Amino acid sequence: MNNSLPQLPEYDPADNLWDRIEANLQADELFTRLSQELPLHDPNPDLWNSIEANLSVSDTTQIRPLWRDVCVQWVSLAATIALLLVGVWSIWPAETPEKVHIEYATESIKSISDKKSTRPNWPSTTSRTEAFIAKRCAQQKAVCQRPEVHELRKQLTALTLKQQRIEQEREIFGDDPTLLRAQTKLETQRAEVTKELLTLLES
Amino acid sequence: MNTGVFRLARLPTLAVWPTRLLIWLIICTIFEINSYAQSVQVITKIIDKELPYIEHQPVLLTAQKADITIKGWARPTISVRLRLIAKHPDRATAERELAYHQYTLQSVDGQVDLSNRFVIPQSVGKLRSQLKAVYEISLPAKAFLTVTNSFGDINLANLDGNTNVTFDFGKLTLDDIRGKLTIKSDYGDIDGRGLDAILNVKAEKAEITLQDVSGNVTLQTSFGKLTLLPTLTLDALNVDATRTDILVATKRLTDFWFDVTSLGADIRVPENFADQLVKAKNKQTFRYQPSVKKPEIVIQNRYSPIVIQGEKPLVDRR
Repeated sequence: MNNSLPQLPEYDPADNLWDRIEANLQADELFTRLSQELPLHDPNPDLWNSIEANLSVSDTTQIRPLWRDVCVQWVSLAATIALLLVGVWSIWPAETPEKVHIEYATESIKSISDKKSTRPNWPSTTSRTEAFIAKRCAQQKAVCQRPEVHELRKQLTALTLKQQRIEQEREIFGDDPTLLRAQTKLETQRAEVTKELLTLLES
Repeated sequence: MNTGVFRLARLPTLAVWPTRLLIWLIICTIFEINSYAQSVQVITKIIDKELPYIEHQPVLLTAQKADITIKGWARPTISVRLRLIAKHPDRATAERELAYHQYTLQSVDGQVDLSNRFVIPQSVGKLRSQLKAVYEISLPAKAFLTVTNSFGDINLANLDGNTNVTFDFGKLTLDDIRGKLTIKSDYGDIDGRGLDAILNVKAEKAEITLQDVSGNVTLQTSFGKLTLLPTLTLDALNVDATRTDILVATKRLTDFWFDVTSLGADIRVPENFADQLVKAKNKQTFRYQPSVKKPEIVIQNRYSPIVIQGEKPLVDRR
């Protein structure tokens, strides 16, 4: 830093710089002194009158209220309509956005044995029964052509289809109580139909 | 019997209480573990929605594995609370599988669509949780309503519009229904009371009980059971059945006209009406039509018995 100072370039101030500064200072001092020495003048007594006279001329200009051109009835009508619209909009039945929340709870299982499906090995029994019925029908065609036998056999087929559907559902939903109940119902029906069919065929 | 806890008495007095405490602690812990293993985490996603109802707008509810309660009310809105439930002993599993529930509750193209379904990725295979949906719906009593469901119970109450229900398995409960009601049931039971409607039922393998039934009733049933308790305000009752056990229980048999035909099975009537029962080889008919016009009950059944009761309380048939 000290070494760099001598390297800076040198400038000479303007010749009349000090005179200018002195003149500025003197002018300030002179203005303060002179402003105190200024004379006081009273205003002309009829000045306000002349101003007022000028003002009275401007009185002739008319001041128009902004609302005068717009009919009051129309304004009130528009306001009423606007209010009505707001009212209708506010009570108009609108689809409310749905509210979603999640609840957690704990439930105790009634009994584990519930889960074990009451499934007697029906596929094997069924196929055996069906084989028996088919054999019987082949032997006694006349019996099987009776409408009630025909109807029962049709029912048995329908029950098998329903049973398959439940099996499919159980492939997805597992040991679901509703599906198990449905299955039990089908099995009961099946047992009833089979029993009736066998009775008819035996007779 | 000098075993187990009883031996504690021989321990030094100071040791008895800590030992008992320890035994209790062990018992409690075992219980705790047991009860934990037997408890199921139930996670329920609850969706509440209100939809405006415009007159004659059809409302379609397409449900799967759902329990449904629908009530008619006087307000011009449809209020729906849908619960989507997943149950599994492990909370994380239940939470993951809850996401397989999908639903729609919206008003589109002038009809209200309410539905739920299960969307399960192929990779998942068999579900581990028990999934179920529960609807609670209130709608204008006069609504045009169509409901389909399988594997769940349906409750309808206070309806006075045009209602269509198609379901299989589960049970349909009807309470105070007017207007028009059409039901198609496959293996689904029906339990109704306070019905005064144009009622059309087509059912297969269903147990049907209709109490205090009036209006115009047409039933087509195959297999199952049918129990009917008509009231005096009945217009007409028509049953066309196959292999359906039928019971008609009246307070007074003479309040109605009967035209009952059975093929290949018996008709049973109170003894004092036995004269009107005609038995042919394979066919029985019971006709009771006194001169004064009464509500008419027409029944045809094949291969299953029909029982007509009067002046006696309904016997339990199960």
